[in-house]
Amino acid sequence: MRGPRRDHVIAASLAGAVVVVVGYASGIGLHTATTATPVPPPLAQVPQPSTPPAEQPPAAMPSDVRPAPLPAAAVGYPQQPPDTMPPMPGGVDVDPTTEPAPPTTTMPTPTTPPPPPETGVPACQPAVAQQVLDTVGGLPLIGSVTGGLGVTGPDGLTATILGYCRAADGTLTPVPVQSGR
Amino acid sequence: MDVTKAWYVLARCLDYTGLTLFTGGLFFLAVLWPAGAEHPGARKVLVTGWALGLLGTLAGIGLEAAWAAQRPAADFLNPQLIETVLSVHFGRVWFARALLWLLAGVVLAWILQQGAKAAKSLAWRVGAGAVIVGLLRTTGLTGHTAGTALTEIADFVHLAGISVWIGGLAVLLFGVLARRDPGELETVIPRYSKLAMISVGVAVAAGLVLAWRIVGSVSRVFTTTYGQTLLVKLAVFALILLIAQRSRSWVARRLDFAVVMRGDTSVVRPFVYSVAAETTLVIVVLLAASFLVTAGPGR
Repeated sequence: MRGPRRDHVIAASLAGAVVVVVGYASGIGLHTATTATPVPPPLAQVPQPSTPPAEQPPAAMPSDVRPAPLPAAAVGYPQQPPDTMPPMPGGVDVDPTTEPAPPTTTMPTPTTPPPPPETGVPACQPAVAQQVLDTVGGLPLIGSVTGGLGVTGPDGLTATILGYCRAADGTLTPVPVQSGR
Repeated sequence: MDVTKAWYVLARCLDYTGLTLFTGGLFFLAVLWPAGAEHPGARKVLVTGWALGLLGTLAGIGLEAAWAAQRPAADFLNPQLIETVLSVHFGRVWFARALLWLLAGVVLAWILQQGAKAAKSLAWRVGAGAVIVGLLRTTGLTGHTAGTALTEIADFVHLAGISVWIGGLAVLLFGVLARRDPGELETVIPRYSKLAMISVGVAVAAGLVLAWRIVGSVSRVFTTTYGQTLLVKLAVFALILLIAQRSRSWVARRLDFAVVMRGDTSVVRPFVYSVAAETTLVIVVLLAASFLVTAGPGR
């Protein structure tokens, strides 16, 4: 009897805990408190630029995608506007009405070391490996991930290991890119 | 793609993979194959799913914070960023998900300790069912589907159907087909085949509702990145369905022979390959889903 009874207690506890946790996630009780007593933003005392509300407005596209403007983004990093959004290459993922100016940081442009003079190095020809990797990098989903994670592409891990033939001014440069930038 | 976002998409993919393996695997053992709770292959599927789910959820919290703050992905453990993201809706929901994964650990430990006895007991099924419902529900609280009852229900049903299908595939591949026990082949495979057909049908129906509500118009499917990603997902999904049809055909024509042959490897091999191909391609579908939940439908 003790075994089944203990199992029932565990099952009931699990079910109860799940209800509480899902209720917490759903914000049950949260709205009542905020509407009853308007509480100032938790970081109001911290000098910072004006911030948008922490939650995205319900009327807006309901997604977790847009990294919600974080109210405290300026606390630890006051130099950074709190309502900035991550850069979205392609400009496809973010509502332009809420998206801030594009990031000021610029990607380091790959530098191609000039060929040593009068060495007569044969022209760099992309090997099969590079062509395959370029093809993978061009795929809609996988390419985005491998490129984003730095696996493929001119500055990727595979380019570091295997070398990479860059096209400079439409021509192939004779020297593969060095990895130790 | 932004590096931090790429890591975030990867975390979402891990989370989805863990969710489908764990919840679908639990459902498979509870409904179709309680004896499989004793089998190392099936247990590994559950443990892998749980670990991936917890890891993906925890990493997702930090990476979402880093992405929102335009910080490098390496800052995903920054306490200030995490504290910040936990104060908004997304963080609250995902913190709750992390707690649910811990509760799921209780369910997992329970079945790992007691095996088939737990899988057959009503108490374990109630506890596992509660955790499964909680995990599926919280997944829809932060997506494009959050906000309206119709889309939230459709999202829940869509996730449930996909999870039953994918988790079942994994347990079938690493459990039932790894053992090749004639009795289990004869009883479990036909039942899973029917269950998979139903779950895929349910998932497709709910997915159509979601597509209609989220994308809005046919033109957006072709003119937006969101729509094009959806097309990629659907194309891979269609390929999986073709392979699944081949699997169903094998079950209808060759399963009896495989049972007579006592699960002979050469007889079962085509079915194993087919299920393995489905399971592999499903990862691409989950990756596409991870892109979709981090992309804006209108763009």
